[in-house]
Amino acid sequence: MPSSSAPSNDWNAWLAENASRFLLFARQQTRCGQDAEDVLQEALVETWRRAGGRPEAALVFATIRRRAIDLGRRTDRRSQREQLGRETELFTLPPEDEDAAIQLEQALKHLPANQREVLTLKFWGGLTFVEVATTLDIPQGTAASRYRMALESLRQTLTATLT
Amino acid sequence: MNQPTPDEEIEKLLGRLTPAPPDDALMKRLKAANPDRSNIIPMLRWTGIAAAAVVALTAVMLMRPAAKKEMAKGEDAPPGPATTLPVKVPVESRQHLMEVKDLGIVQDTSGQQQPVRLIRTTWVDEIFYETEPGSAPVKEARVRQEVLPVALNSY
Repeated sequence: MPSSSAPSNDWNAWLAENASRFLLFARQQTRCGQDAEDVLQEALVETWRRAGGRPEAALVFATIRRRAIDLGRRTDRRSQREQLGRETELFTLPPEDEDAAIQLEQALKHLPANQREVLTLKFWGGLTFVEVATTLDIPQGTAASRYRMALESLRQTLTATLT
Repeated sequence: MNQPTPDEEIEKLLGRLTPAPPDDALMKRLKAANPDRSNIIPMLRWTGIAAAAVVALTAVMLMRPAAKKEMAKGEDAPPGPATTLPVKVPVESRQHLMEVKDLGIVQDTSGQQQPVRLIRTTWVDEIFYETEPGSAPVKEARVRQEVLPVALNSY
């Protein structure tokens, strides 16, 4: 539930707590870093206003997705050009186990987009399957099966390298 | 001891990765976009403009019955029911802002103009009419919606 008594500086605290996971999803939903930042700002401001304070995470993710689709339709050709040769760092890698983490990140990038977005929302977004399904406009069972397929695909890819 | 399932092993691996935080520039930009702060000034500005428009509309409405009376003086109005109809003279109006809805940000495709945020405001206009001098005013209310552009801060 949004907190109606949040002080005005609660915005900054909320950003500090949540911006990373929202940015990760925005980057995966857009074609370049600049688009991701624009979509992120628009979605955060919109959902905060709509909720009158801290919005539900599921609402923010759903808004990011809608805004990314809108932006993709408007700027399709431009974004495809900008995407070329640009690689955004999606994760912070642990220094003590960087090699394994890099391989994991690469494996994630090669997942089908529909599996990766479910995995991102469930694992790093902290959403339930019901919320993931609502956010992506898919049945709950589909969300759960895509999550399991993503884990299985990662397991197969990484078994040879991490064991 | 329970052995971790294959899914749990992968989830443990995934736990090594944490989403990269926004860089300083983006964080600064997001903090500056604080909706609680940026809402106030544009809303006051557009509310003022809307109020001025309503005042102008009310003034026009007040003038219309007077003009009708002037026209009636020059005519030989036949006696009958038409002359006995009450004339409603607006004597007061009140505007209540009921809802502000964010419609999103629009930007022209050429990119030459600054993007603007569109908001839809919903008002209830109450107009009080006097049918006879000194009589109790009669109230009429109607809902009015306006779509207004609000300038965005640029960074």
